[in-house]
Amino acid sequence: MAAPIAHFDEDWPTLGAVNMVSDERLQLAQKGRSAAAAGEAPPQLLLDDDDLPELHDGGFSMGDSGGFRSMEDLVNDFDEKLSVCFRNFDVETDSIAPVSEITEDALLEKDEIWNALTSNYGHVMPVDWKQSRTCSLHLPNLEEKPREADVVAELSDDEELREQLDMHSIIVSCLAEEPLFTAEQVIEEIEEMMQDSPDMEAAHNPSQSDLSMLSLDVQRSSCNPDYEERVRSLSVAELNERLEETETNIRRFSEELVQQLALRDELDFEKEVKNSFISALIDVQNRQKEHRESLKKKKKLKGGAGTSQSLAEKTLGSRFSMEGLSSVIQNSFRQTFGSGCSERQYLTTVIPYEKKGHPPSIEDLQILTKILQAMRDDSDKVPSLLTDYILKVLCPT
Amino acid sequence: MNTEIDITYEYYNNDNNNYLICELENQAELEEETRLINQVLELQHTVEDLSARVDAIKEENLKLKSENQILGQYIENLMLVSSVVQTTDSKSKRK
Repeated sequence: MAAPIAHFDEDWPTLGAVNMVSDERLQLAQKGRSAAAAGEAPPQLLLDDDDLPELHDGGFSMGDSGGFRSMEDLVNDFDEKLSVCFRNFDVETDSIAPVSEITEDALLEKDEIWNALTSNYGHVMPVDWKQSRTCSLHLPNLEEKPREADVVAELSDDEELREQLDMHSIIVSCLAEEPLFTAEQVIEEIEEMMQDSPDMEAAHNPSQSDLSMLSLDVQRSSCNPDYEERVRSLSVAELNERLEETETNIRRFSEELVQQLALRDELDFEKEVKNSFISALIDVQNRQKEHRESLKKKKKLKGGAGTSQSLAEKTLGSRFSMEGLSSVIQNSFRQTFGSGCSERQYLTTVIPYEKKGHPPSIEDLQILTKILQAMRDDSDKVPSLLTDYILKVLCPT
Repeated sequence: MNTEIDITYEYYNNDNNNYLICELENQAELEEETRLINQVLELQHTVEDLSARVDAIKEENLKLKSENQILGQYIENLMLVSSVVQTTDSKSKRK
């Protein structure tokens, strides 16, 4: 849209009128100047008449005083000019610069895409289903009309179809030789399998997994009351086969039982060794504690007896008398060698142990238990056992 | 006439014998079958007992394994703390 152009009418002041106004102002300015010149000597910096005439119009005009005009005068001057320019504020601007409003309807009217989409609105009717060809084809088939003709032929066809699609008969015919299980039996079997699933995961051996499945079958058959009836219904050959299978199962279960019993014995032995080690270690610790406490008590008693003897010696005689010296020497001998016979020399033995990050093996525990028991009994075998342990276990060559 | 009667009697006797033989054979088969059935059922009971025993032993072994594991952990901690046993790591630190 082009910018509104201001049309100059006759009411607008012409350039000549503007010049006339400017001349009037110039004359006023000149009068002001002359008055100022008459009164005072105006400064030469002020503009003269020969200067640029356009500046006289409204910029830098002189006041009556002969100097610069005040702000108020400037504002009033500007106001006068504006009123001269615009004069009538109530003039209708449509004739000067018409403004057209932009509405949605106007835009849509010009939009080609919108017209293409909506040009047929209200002119084209929606699809009538009832009169469509598809409906005419569907309806006759949906209506239940008695068909008197070709009934027999259709029935035979239907029977053939039914026989072909009879899945039950197909499945049952395949299962004629296999035993049929009820839904409850199947659910029980699944529950047993779910319960035994951790055992089955642990059984990496295929024989063990087979045995676990076999045990499930055995449990299932034991729960099934029809098992006996089924067995009675079998023929001689089938009975012989079943007999052989049962005998092989018995052999497998027997082997498994023997293995599990051996494993149980090993685990029992391991538990026993560990328990005996723990009891020996705690026993030795307790005895060491008791021994330390008894030593402390003895030291206290001997220390007290020694001091009392020394006091007595001082009271009896001088410090350096022969009797005093002999008693001191005797006491010192007793303290160092006196309790050597009753002292447990092997109880305070320390057993070295290498930290491996896992518990010691059964053999190591057995050796350590022997050492601990010898320490507890204060046996002379402690050094030899300890040496063997260090050479064979701690630092094997 | 008598020969005919004899023949018929003999024929009748043969049929009877055949019938008896068949009967005996059937009886033997039935006995055999019964014996087999009883044997199968008995062995099946044995299998069930063995299976139950194996399951019980397996469960017991699992318990023992877990107990031994706990005891092993206890022993390891006891040896680290006890004054009777000295670990070589701490000895090297002291040096």
